[in-house]
Amino acid sequence: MSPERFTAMGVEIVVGGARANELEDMRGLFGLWDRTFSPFLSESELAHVNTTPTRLVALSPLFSRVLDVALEAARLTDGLVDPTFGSPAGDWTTLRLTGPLLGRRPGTTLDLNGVVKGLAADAALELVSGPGFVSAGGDVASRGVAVVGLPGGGSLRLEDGGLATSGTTRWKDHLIDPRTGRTSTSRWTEVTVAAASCLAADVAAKAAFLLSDEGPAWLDARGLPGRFRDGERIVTNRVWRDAMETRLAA
Amino acid sequence: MESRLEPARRRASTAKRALTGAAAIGFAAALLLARASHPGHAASPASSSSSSSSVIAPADDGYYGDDGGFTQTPQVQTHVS
Repeated sequence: MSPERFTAMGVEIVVGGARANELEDMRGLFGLWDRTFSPFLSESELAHVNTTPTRLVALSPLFSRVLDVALEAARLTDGLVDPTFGSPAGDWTTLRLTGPLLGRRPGTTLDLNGVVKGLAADAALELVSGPGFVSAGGDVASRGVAVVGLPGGGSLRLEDGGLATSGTTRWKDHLIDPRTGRTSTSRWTEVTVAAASCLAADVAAKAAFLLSDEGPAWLDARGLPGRFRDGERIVTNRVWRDAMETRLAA
Repeated sequence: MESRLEPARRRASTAKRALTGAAAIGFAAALLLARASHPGHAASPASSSSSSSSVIAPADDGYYGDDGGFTQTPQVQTHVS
């Protein structure tokens, strides 16, 4: 059966294995996430949070959950994936999230793009009752086996996990390095990472891309497989090679 | 006879082991826990896999198409969005 495709959150959503009612629920989920986190909709909750001048702001349960995950991603990447990226005041270490209440320095704005897409793909997959997959703009979450095409050619089997790619090939200024505030000077054009969830793969791919030469070892230290593309040249880290060779030998 | 301090020591030891375990579970699991432990969120993570390397394998079990060639057509593509 061919995968279903639709557009949401400004990207193409590709779904395999979902029943009609599950697909309908999924459209609703992506619609809700778009209305909540879109930086382009003036009525989104993100826009409301960013334009509220007070130190304390009350968040919806969904927003506080996603911000909580974003703060964990920032901690795990030492701020390479920062939910306050681009903010004129304060960084992620100045945010205080207590249940639904966010405390921040006046003027601190949020950008949750670093986690929203991967997290939405994982959440959408939970709506599928059997084996299946969800791709949100090329970030894939899978239950059971999905054959996934890789940047520059080739494919792999993704089983019960996530696969995500970060880089600059589509938008030249796609990734800004929070450490410098400028377009990343990473040697890689694309980094693809596999993990136990699409969220983890997405966050790790962004961090590994920004770390440039240190990216492969950073992923190795965390037991995450990574595939790095530098123009036509493809480099894989030790965990990626081990995973592929182990399966071939089995 | 068991000292009155023993139960407290056992609790402290259990808590220490739990913290050590939490530090060892790694990057992906920490993010999964952040998702699952938040009120109002489904407790079951998207994946039950504990090892990130075990989620990928070569796409080596394709099929022979009408033209006789071995095919493993990707169902979906990962890319930069």
